[in-house]
Amino acid sequence: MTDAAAPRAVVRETADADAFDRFARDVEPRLWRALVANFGPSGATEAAADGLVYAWRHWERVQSMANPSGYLYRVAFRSAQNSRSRALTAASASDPLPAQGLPDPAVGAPDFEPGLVAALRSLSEMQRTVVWLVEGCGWGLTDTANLLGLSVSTVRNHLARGLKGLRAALKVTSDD
Amino acid sequence: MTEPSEHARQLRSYAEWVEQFHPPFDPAAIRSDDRPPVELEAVHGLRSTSAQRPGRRSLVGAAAAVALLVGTGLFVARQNDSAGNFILTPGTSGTSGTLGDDADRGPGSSVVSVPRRPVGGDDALGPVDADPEVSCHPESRLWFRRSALDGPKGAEFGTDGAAAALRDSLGVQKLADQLGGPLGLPTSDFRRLAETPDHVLFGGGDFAGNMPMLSFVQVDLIGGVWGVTGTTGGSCNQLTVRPPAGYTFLRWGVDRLSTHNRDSTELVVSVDVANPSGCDPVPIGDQDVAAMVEETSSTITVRVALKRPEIDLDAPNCVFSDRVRVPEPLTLALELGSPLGDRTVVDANVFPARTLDLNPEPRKEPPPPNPRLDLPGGTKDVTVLATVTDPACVPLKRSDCPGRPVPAAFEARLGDEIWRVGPNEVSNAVDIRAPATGASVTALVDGAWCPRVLLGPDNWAEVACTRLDQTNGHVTGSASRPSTEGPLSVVFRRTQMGPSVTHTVESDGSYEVVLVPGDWFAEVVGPGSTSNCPGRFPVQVTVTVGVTVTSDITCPT
Repeated sequence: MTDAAAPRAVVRETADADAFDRFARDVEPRLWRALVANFGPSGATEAAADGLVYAWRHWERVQSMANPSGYLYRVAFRSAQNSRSRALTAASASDPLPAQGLPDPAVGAPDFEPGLVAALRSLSEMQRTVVWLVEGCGWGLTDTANLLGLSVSTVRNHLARGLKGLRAALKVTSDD
Repeated sequence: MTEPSEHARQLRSYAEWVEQFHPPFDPAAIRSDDRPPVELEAVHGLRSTSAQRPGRRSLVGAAAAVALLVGTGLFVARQNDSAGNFILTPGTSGTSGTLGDDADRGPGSSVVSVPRRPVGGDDALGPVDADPEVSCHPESRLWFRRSALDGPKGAEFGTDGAAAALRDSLGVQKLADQLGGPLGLPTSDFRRLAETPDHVLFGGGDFAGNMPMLSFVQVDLIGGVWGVTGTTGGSCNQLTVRPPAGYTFLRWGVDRLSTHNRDSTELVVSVDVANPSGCDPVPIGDQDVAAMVEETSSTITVRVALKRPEIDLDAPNCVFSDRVRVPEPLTLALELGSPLGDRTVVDANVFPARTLDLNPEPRKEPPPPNPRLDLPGGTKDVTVLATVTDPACVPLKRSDCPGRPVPAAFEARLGDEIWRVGPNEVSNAVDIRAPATGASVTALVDGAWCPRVLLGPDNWAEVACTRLDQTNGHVTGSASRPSTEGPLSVVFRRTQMGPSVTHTVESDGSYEVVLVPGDWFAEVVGPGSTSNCPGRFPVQVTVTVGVTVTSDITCPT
């Protein structure tokens, strides 16, 4: 094979690294917070990285999207879900996987309600994510809806059901 | 903060505590990350390449090791469609509507909370009786008792007017078979499946074997004369149970974006919802859904149906038909009386009821054969991406088309690169020339596919779509829409002539649609494709997981 006859090497379009960096710095924390409720800190970190690597490699397309963070959340979520599925498939009963959800408060952590984390874990994935973002992280319904790719009304529905489930799990009958 | 309580405050405090686990983030590391491309199919494990991932990844302990073992190289993990654990009914769903105020939602489906059984405002859905009314083609509304398929054969030899009309119909069909080749539909051994004084439904063939072929002839007494008013037929792998009056059947499957485990108190299912052609979407709410969950210590039996929406048939362009046109994925959360445990979930929308696998394990299959590709300067090992099996083109816009090969690119994977190879060029540039104006490419969705359509003289709308998960039918993709006007849609069909599922590509070029698993044909439809080419000849591309397109396209003479 001669150089002249060889296929041309991939010439990737020069992407705007600065623009991507700004985008990534803005999106990564939001992706991480949205993912951590279901996949834990390590899983969220990996999933967010997967999503952003995808974004960088499809930067031209991603930056033209109306809701790129929402799209990348789906990519990241599925990446994490798939990793977990593969791991669970191969894990044996004698070699269980480490827990990959919200971490238990460690020694030295603030004094939380003992059943809080368990109550959160009892929610469905979407309920937990919405409750986590809205109540835990203080996001607005619109911001939450945008990232999750849902309508505000759907987010509100998940939130109401999630809080109901949370109250039931914590055995409280009122907001107090 | 919408929950001004002590627990909400603690939740906020806990979230802040969790934030300490958020590691520093460096965008430059992302840009320099040399992990294999995160293709969407890889995301859902159809082609996992995690074995090549660099050590930077820090998957947790055993999970990482397991993932590496599972996802080696170009291993393909896909669900065997024939297993059909999630193909719940054949055919299509009937008339219904799209989600009203959720029309602005992004990828994914809304979750409609369905109260515990029975739902829908009444006891519409009861247990399936022992001999239910069923149909092979529910969209055609040809219902009959299941036991009728075991009735006596030879109805075509009857002496009444209905049988005579049937014989006339079969004579025409046999003639057509002689002229155009057999269709493979039974022309004998008919049974009377259902009848009233002025209506008879005949069914030919046996409901037996792996791929039963049945034909149906409907005759009616009109003006004192028996005549055929409808015929249909084809393969019939499953029988759909007739929903109660006022409801339409639908397909459903376990929502794969939701995790189910022993402690789950909800069963989240996805359903296909349809809308009549051209009619205004009809909002769907809880009261539009009827679900029946029967629980025992060992099984959870589910029936789901949808109220037939009241369609304004006088609306402009509203053509009432049971043919599916604009479905939207709808997710239902069915509350269970007790945690899921080890119980099996059974779909009673079909007969006999089918058992669902809530957490199917991905299948390991050997990688596809890697042929060698002759490129200028040498030969390369490539991985087949897709194969054109039914080449055709559109002669309308090309004067040089008839009888001459039309340049068609094919794709091959060389390492991590996708190469487009045409007769006169070898390039990995993303631009692919058009075979003909107005042509469309139809791909059989089976793992990975990439249909594209020419919307104008030089305007390709490339729809990069990947079936993310063979087991759940969730499909996402994106479409670039260069200088096109009007809506761009992706149409999925279970058969090339069958009912379709249409999804409009969003303004940002993205789309997502949920399909029950199975073989789907995908077609991209845009304004240019229809206006420039009223007689489109779709090119069928059979896409295999693992993946290449290797053929010139030759125009029909």
